[in-house]
Amino acid sequence: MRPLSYARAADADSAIAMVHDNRDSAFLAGGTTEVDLLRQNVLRPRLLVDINDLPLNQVEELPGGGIRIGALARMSDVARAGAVVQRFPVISQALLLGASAQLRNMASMGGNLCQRVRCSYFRDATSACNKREPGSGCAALTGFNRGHAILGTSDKCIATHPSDVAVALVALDAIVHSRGPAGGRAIPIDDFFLLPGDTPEREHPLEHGELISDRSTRDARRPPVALPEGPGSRVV
Amino acid sequence: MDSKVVAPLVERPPSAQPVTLNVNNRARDLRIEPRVSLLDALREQLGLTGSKKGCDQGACGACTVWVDGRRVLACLTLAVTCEGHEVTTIEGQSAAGQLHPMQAAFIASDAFQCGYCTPGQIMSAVALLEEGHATDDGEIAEWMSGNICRCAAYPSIRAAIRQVRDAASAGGE
Repeated sequence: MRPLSYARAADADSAIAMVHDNRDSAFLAGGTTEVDLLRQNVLRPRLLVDINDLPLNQVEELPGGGIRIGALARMSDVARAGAVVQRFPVISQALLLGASAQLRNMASMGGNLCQRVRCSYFRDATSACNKREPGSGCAALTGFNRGHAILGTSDKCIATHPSDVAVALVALDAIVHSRGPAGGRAIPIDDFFLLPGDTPEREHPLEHGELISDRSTRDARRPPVALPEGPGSRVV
Repeated sequence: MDSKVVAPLVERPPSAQPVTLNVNNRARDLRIEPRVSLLDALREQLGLTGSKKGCDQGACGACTVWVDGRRVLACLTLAVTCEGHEVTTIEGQSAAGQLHPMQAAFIASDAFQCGYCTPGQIMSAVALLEEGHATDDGEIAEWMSGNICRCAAYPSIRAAIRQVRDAASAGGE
């Protein structure tokens, strides 16, 4: 792993400002994808801003039947939260089908949405990959690709999205709330996950230094489901 | 960023810096770079070699430790992030030279062959009982699935877990 600087954030504004001001920086949440990819030189930030102390780990019920899940709530905690189990079991079940007990104790909900693809060519820093190195080509197109996507692909990238719970959240019309240097915004989940098109390196609309904050569903019959509140961009 | 004043964060440089970790109820001072994993800090700086480096990429579970009582993977945890938190390793399970009941059960059930994955298995197994995920063999297998044993000692590992589970419920713990 390349040498890194490190800062632990006590408040969201400081974390956002620090990452926004430094192109070679990234938020650090659960780290389950990020530390792995740092070690493989797939991600190459010079500075990690640790956001784990930020108070973004709540699962709260909202008026109208929805829930809000903080971006730093861990997969394991969300999966067993009473409101999630009783009212949105699809979220709980999707979470419990992913990873392992140890990883679920570490991985944050915000990081889950922003986790990077499992494509072995993306994760091999010496292979051509438009997602990792825009313009370098896609080794998966002619490589070992039987596990790759057949829908929503482009001639630049055929990787599948790795998140199980993302499927549940799409079904629930969740909304991703984020905070950035310019303030907060709400992003419908359908607009959060971008198709690869000609820019596979852009996987979501978050800007550098913008953090996820929470989710809600728009379906009136199924009010706000909750999701992450916390860091989005580059948070893993 | 509106016009509000944002306090700058303290940035640790990439070089080795003092870090204090609380490991097995003991404060340990060490000098490490921010990029050092908890696993490497435990093994190479503190001499706690019970936690094993199997895959070093979060797949095998041999490095399983607890942070604040929750089982996590030390290979995917940066040591510096553990400052201010409680780290527990397999060495912390046998207080005063007494084996933890799970360690004794692993021996009694012959729940290992090469033994390399065993510390991680035991750290997960103890947590598993705390979490209440040991109702039957199917549930034990699912919730122990983050710990790989390439010797395939799984039936004996499950037997050891059942033994501790049943002893605890019989004794009222």
